[in-house]
Amino acid sequence: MLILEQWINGLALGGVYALIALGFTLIFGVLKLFHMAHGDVFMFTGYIVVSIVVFAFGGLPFFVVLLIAMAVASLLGMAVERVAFRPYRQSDEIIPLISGIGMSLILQNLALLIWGPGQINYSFNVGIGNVSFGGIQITGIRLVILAASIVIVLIFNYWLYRTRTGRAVRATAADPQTASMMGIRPELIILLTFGVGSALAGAATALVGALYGAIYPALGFSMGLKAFAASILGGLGNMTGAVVGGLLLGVLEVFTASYINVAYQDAIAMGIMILVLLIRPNGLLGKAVEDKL
Amino acid sequence: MTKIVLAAREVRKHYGGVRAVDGFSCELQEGRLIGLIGPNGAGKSTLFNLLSGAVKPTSGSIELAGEPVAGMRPDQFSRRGAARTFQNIRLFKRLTILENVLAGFHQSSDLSLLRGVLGLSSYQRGSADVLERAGALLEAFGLYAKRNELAVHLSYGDQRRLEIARAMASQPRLLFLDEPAAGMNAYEGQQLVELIRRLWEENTQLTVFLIEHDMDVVMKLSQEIFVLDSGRLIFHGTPEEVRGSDVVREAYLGGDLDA
Repeated sequence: MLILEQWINGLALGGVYALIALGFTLIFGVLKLFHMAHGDVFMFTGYIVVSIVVFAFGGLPFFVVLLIAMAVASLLGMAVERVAFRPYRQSDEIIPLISGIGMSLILQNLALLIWGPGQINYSFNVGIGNVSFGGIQITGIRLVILAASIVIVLIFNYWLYRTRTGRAVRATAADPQTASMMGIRPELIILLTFGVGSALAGAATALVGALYGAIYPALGFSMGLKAFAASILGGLGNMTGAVVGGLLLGVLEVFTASYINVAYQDAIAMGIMILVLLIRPNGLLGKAVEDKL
Repeated sequence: MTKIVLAAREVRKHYGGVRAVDGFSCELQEGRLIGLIGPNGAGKSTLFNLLSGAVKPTSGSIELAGEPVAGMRPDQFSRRGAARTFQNIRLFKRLTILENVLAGFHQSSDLSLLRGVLGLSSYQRGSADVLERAGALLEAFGLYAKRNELAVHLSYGDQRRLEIARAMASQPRLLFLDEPAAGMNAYEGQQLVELIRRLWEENTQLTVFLIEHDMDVVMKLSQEIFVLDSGRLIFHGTPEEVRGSDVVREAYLGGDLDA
């Protein structure tokens, strides 16, 4: 029965990775850019949300905290786009990559400056206690994370595949110039992509916050790395792939931590990722990139 | 007095020292079917890129329906009634056929994200209306049955037709067709000519401007023809006049103009 608990724990953690990876892979899909500061948007949002929500208005319902985190991350992500990437739209692709790394360092150092180097501990009240059935016990937080991740992914999926705006995003990802000749404004779509992609990371901020209740400036780096890994594992630019990659990574980590050694969880998860990529270089669901006509 | 849908004055495009288009002027009247011909490298595609907004001119003015548009973004050209197809097909390959056409409806559908999020009933009605119009368009192009397939899976001829359907979705005043029959066999080409003519006849205000290598097709379709050589307009007239022109004959260096 312990194994079922581990599965749920792994999927909950994986759901959070999937949310971050979805934003990462969406931004990659539209701009063909590795958003090196995506994890730091996640981290910085965490600090802002903790400052506002916990210390200013303690006791807000978790649902409201989640929405605030998404809104903060969305604004922050769009600001990062305007400052770090938009000026370099016509430049060689290495330039925005470097600019993204710069933005990552700036956000980390800003966090150090404002909130200090130490870890800040806090707690969000998700309002659901532990649940036990048939001899297994699951914390309420993990159920909330799992449910919230599923709902958010479904809404995101509907937006991207069933609405006019989502279609414009996909058209822009495929061919920005042709899309603009359909009357679509690529610059608006790019801004929107960062807004939505970062909002997903913001949701993850609230959910991870509920789970661990701790934040420190370097948290963004490790989360960004995991989102990157999950996206690659699933197939870069592939939305289903990002979710599958995120879930797989979460489950791998939890199983490594509980059956082998928690100290090896990152090493083993990354090791397995490398093995998968040896067999499927384009990721689990990735397709070989087609050449343009 | 017929309306001028597009007016270009002394439009130039220089790439370094290369004068791809070197001072092109024209007035296109509403509701005409107009051809653009010229030898390889004459600058026909560059001219289309300039007039449809894909590329900004080095100098010169362009007016769409009386409004100056030179230097504007492609989406602003689109909003003022320009639409086009490409010499190398540029469909959204990983979108379905229906989605490609719906992307063409993007601006005319006028459904803002906010209204969509709020779920206003006018949004619902609006999207149902757009879906219906997209379906009708695909029906007219014989693509309705395949509407849920990915564009990449279509045959070459179908891809060409889908590109025209997508361009028509924005309800353009001016439709640029860049070698619509390129790579098609004689039968497919003939079918496409019929389709373009029908489209033009059914939309009385639509101006069609097309580049075509097949002289037979151009002479049969066009009411007037512009002839471009080395980036300059060397002749403008009816198909008969073009056929009889020594200047044109010389430009093609003995190329066979007698269809």
